[in-house]
Amino acid sequence: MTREEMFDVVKANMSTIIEGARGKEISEKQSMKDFGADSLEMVEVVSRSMKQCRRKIKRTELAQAKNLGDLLDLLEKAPEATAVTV
Amino acid sequence: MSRVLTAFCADDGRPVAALEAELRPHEQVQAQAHAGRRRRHFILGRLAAHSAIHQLGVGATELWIAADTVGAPAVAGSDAGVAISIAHSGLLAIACAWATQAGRGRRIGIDVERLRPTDIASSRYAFSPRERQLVRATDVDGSCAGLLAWVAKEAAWKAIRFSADVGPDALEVRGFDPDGLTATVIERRRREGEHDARKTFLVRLRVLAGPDGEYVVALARERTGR
Repeated sequence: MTREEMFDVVKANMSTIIEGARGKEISEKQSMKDFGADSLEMVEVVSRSMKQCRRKIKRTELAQAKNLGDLLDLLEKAPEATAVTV
Repeated sequence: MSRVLTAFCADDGRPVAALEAELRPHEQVQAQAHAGRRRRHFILGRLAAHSAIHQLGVGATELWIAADTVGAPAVAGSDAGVAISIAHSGLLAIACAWATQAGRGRRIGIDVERLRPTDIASSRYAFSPRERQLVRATDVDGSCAGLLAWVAKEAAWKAIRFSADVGPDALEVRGFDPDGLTATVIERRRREGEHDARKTFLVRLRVLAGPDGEYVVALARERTGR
């Protein structure tokens, strides 16, 4: 998957899960908190995105992502898995 | 045992300017750094915190809510010795306040989540294998049990005041009774610069009616003594 495709996955999950993100422009510089996401919504978006992108990011690394660009950096860097359960 | 006062503030749909007018001047400036739903959450959380502080009987007009070194909300502007914790989800903000003395305060944290179907119970990011097993072992529906465990863990995370770059693996849910609405959460990773014994948090959960459905609230208190 390309970075753009992964970003599409993340944006689609944000629109499904985070009410404040629906119908909004989403850029890599923003964070999920900018759309009013609570902690549970953020975890759900990340978990589903990892599964759909077939990438697994370490929890310690994930906690350091400050915005969506950082999350995409981690998804890009993570090795592609044959099956991911998150 | 010190008193912990909680207060809620529901989003009644008023324009953001009207809500913001109720904040202290310093808080209004902070609120303007946010936009959209996050700004409403910020304002509602501070209003809930002021309400909780007021219930403690502290001269609240001289206080305002600032941020501490890790970005967590903290009372500023007075030596009144008050600590707070704030949480928000959906259309509800909740806060708790308690009296504290410098260097001797108990660690307390609060969290809230709108009750809704979620697959967090199976998330490897949110929970360790042992925690997932603990959640699965309950009689409660997996979606609800997962959400309750997550709220308990988040409340303890806020009580410790980890910095934002510390993930959920820093804590572990060890005891979990969703029927009795209690949980025990232990610290697995010490906060930077601290060398005392690892902390244990006792968490009380409760379900309450919000403006758009039910919410789960968790209040985590550090266990002290034996």
